[in-house]
Amino acid sequence: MQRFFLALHATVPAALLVAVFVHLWGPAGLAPLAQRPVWTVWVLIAVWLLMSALAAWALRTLALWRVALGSTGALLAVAALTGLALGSALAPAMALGLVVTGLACAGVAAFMGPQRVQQVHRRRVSRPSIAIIPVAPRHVVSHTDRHWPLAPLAHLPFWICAALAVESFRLAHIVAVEPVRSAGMLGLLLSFFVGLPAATVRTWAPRTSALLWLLAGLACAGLAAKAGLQQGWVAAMLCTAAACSSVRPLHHRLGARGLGHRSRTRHTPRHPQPSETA
Amino acid sequence: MTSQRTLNRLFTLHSWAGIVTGLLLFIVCFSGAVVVFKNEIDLWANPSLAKLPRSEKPASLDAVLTQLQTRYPGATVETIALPDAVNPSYFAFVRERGAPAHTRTKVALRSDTGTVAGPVDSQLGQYLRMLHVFLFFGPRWIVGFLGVAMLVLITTGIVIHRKILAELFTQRWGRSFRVVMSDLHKSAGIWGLGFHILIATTGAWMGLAPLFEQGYKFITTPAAMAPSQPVRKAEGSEPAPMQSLDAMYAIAQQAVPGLEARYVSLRRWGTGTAEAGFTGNLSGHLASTARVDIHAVTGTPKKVHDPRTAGFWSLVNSLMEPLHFGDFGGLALKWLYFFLGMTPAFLSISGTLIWLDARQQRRREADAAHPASAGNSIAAG
Repeated sequence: MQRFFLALHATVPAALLVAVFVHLWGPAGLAPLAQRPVWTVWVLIAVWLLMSALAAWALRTLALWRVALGSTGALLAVAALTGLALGSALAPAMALGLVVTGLACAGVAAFMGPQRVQQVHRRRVSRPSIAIIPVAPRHVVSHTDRHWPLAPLAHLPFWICAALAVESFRLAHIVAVEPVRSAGMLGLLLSFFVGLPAATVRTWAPRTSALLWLLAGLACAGLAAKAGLQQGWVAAMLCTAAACSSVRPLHHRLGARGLGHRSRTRHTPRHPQPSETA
Repeated sequence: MTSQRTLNRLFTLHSWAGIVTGLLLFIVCFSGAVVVFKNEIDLWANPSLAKLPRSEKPASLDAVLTQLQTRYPGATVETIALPDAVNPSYFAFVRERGAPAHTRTKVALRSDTGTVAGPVDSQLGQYLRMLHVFLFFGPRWIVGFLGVAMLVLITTGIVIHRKILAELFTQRWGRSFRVVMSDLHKSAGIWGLGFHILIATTGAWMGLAPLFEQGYKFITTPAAMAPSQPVRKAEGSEPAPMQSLDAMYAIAQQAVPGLEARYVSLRRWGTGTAEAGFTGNLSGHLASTARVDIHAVTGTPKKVHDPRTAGFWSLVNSLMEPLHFGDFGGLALKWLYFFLGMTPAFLSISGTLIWLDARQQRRREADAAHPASAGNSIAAG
C-alpha cells in the first residue's frame, strides 16, 4: 500500500505525458478534442492508476523512482521528437525545453541511489555516537487510543467536520438554489476554517477547541435561522456536542490532578527530525 | 521562545497536514508549474495551426463573427478569443446546433482574414489548466483550500525549522536517507519560501474569494430581500439588429482606457437583450480583470469594471491571476515560475518520504522492543 501511495506520486509526470500523446493523436470514433470531451480525463485517471499499480507491484521503492523518472525523461524526448515530426508551432523551442527537462529527469534518476545515503543499521554499528533523535514508539497513552467500537468516537470531531463539509457541498453545488446555495458556501468555510482547526487542536488546547466548536455551532444556528435550513439546527447541535466532548477530557484531567495523580501525557519528544549533528 | 512542547505539536500538525494533502498538493503544484506554459503548449499541440500567419493588423471582430456565422449557420457563437503574444490566431467557442448543452467546439480562425480554419486539433494547455485549477471535476475552492493548507504547512515549517540561514546551505550527502531528504526538504523550502507564500496566497485567494463574496452577500442581505433565481424574461427575445462588435470594442476602450481585450463574450446574441462583454488586461498595468459589458442593441455600456478605480480589494483581486501564473514578464519569468513551481511539488514528495521513513523507523523500534509480538505478526502475515 505504501509503495502504491509513492507510485501515485512518481507516475504523475509519466501519466500526464501519456495524456499529451493522446492529445497529439486523438483516436477516431470518440468525441473530438476540440470539444474538450470528458473521456480524456478518464483516460488520464485510468492510465495513472494502472501505472501506479503496476509500478508498486513490480518495483521496489528506489527502482520505482528511478524507473518513473527515467521513463518520464524518455517520454519527454519522444514528445519533443513528435512535435518536430508533426511540424508544430514552436516545435524547436518546445523540443529544446522538453529535452532539457527530460535530461534533468534522467540525471536525477541516475544520481539518486544507495550510494547517496548510509544504511541506518551500518551507521548505528559503526558510529553509534552520531544518532537521530530517538523516536518514541507510539504507545503513549491518550484518549484517542481506543479500540472498536470506541475508536471512531475518538475521531468524532473530524467526522462532524466532514459531515458539515459534505452537506454544505451538497447544498452549495447540488441543490444550488438561493438562499440555500449561499448558506452551503458559508457552511464550507465554517467547516474548513472553524471546524477543522477545532477538531485538530482538541487534544492540545481543549478550551480553544470548545470555543471554536461553540462558534461554529452559533454560526450554523444563524445560517439555519436565516436560510430556513433544518440541517443547520442539526449541525449546531452536533457542534455543541463536539464542544462538550472537547472539554470532557479536560475535566477528567483536572479531576485527576485534584486527586493528586500526575497526568501521564505525551510529553515524550516525538520529533522524528534528524538532529543537526546527525 | 517557542517551547519544545509547542514545537512538537507544530511538527505533528505539519506532518499530518502534509501527509493528508500531500498527493493533491503534488498534483496541483506539478501541473501548475507546467501550466505556466499553457498558451505555448496549446499552440504546440495544434500542428494544424502552425501554418496560420500572424497578422500585424488582425481582421476585424465583425469579419470574424460573420465568418463564423457563415461557416456554422444556426450555431451560437459564445466567445471569441483575440490573438495575443503567443497565439497568432483568433479562436471562438461555438455551440453547434443539436449539440449537448455543455458541449462547445473550439474553432480557429486566421488572424489576417478572419477565415475559419476549422476545429482545433486539441486543447492540451487548457486540459492541464483544468487539472490545476479544478482537478478536472471539482469547483475551484478545493484548490483554494489546498492553498490555505499550503500556507499552514509553510507557517508551521518556518516555526519548526528555525535555523533558516544555516539550513539554506546545509546538504549532508552520505548520511542516512532521512537526513539527506530532510536537508533537501528544508533547503528547497527556504530557498523558495517567498515564491511558495506568493502562490499559496494567490491560489487560496482565487479559489476562496467567490465563497467569501457569496457568503458576505448572503449575510448582509436581509432575508426578505435574499436574491432569488433569475427569472428568464420572454420580452426582448425577438430578433433585433446588433451594433458592430468593433464599434462596441471602441466604446469599451473609451470606458476603460487602455483595455486590451482577450475575450469577447456574446450573450443572447441577435435578440433585444443581447450583450457583448469585453474582458482583458490593461496596457501598462498588471491587472487582469478589466471588463465592460455593452448592450448590443443600443451600444451603451451596462457594466464597467476598471480595477484601477474600483477600490482596493478589486485591485488586489485583479493582481492575483498574473501574480499566480507569472504571465506578465515574458519567457524568462515563465521559466523561473516553472522551476520555482516545481519546488513545492518536490517538498510534497520529500515530506511524504520523510514521514514514511520515520514511520518505518518507529515500527522497527517497536518490533525491537516487542520481538515476540513482531514474530507473531510476521508469522500471521
